[in-house]
Amino acid sequence: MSSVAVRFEKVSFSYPGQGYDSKQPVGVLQDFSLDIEAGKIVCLFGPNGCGKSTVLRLCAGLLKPDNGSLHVASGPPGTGDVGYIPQAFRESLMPWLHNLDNIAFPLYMTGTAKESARAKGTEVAKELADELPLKRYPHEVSTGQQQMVSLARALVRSPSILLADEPFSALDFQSRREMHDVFHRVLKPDSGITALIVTHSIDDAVHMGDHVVITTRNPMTIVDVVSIGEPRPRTQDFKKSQRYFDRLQKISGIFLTANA
Amino acid sequence: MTTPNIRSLWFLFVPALVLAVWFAVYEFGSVPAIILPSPVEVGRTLVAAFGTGGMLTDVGWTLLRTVLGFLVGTAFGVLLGLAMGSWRSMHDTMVFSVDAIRSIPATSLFPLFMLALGLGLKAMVALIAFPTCWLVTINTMYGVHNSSLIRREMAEIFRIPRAKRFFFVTLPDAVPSIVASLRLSIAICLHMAIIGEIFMGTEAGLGRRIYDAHTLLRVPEVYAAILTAGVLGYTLNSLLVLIEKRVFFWGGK
Repeated sequence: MSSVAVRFEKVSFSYPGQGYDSKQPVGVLQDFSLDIEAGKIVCLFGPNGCGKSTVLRLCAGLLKPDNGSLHVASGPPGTGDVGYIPQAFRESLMPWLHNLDNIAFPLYMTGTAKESARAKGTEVAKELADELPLKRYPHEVSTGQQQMVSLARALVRSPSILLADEPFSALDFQSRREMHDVFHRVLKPDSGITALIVTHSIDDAVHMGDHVVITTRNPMTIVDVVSIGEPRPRTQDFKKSQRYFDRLQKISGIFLTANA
Repeated sequence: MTTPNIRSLWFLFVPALVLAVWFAVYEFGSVPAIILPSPVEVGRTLVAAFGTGGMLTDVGWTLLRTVLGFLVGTAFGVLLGLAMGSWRSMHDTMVFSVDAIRSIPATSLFPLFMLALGLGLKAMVALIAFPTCWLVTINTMYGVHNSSLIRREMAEIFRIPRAKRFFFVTLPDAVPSIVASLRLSIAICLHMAIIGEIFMGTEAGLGRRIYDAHTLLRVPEVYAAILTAGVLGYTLNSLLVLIEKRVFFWGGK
């Protein structure tokens, strides 16, 4: 019996209305329930504006549910060991710190000595990429490298849960492939890390996920959960296989019917 | 290799043109020398003033007043601006008063400053610090308000303690906006120092020299002092630009 790392139980959430003519709250989630098994990669796949990011922000503790209960790493959100990669990862890095200090930042801001924080940061960065320019500033490196820095920062405290919001969508074709490989490497089954990855790209979802949660909007509803059933870590070869195309087609079929 | 060198001297074109026109008007125009003296004479006066005429003392005093007023005004402005930017209640309490008080021209308060603080450095510093401090207050407040929401959210997710979050995440984000306002204020500080020196009976200072020379109709000396004040202002501004680029390089990144 495997344990549950993230549990949404009948969670409701709405944003206060800020419209010009309507102060009606904007409902995003209504009685939303989802269990994520520890150690799995779950991809949340849905249309733009359906509330995928809201789900992540709830998990990270940046938003509080209006109703229902939410547990992340066996506690309420904002208390567990969670790594978070926001969609605007570039802006989320501190421009006044070089890349290594950006990676080490969560450690040395919370009590770890700067030198050991940097040592740990270097170690994590080395795992991701060989030639990440650690002494450069974020605005001096490529978008792909910025995402590497942001991933390293999310992993530096060895979290049990990784939350990633569209981690691949800003990347070009090649760095996207590289990033897929890096994610599979750091999230390999024996790492014990549970990952919730939000995406609007079906390729990302099929290539990365153990399970793909397909949603529709207003309010965000889970249409179906498709298990990919392909062992991890996966290589680029998986993308050429018939199994990959079958999953792709199955998911796009379900998605298009639900969001017609 | 030669082309970039010539290009790097282009900035001298307009000053050279101005000097040429000045010469031409002086030689061939009908402007009386009491309004426009010869550039050569102004140059000679300038050299003499710096040599034995005590111009260096004047520059020193003006610089001292400018910098003191700048430091006092900036310190006050940054502290008030940070408080107003960080605490909603502080903002709501102070914003009307700050907007009202900064609408008062500092020059109109100078007589009061002199009454209250005496005819000395204190009144002068108050005059210089007054306009600076409101300018810096407003810019610091907006710097804090416009600090990146996503970076503050990241700090929250990292569970960084509140005070550290402020000093290591919010404040660095506000710094480029603060430093930009310092550049504007140093220019204003020099203005106010000159005004103060002209208005109040100081013994030395560029404003004093301009005023005295003008009453004695020593027009070349007026020009020499104006040029010196201009160079001083330009130098102070360049210094702050240098600091901005070297130390606070992340503005707009």
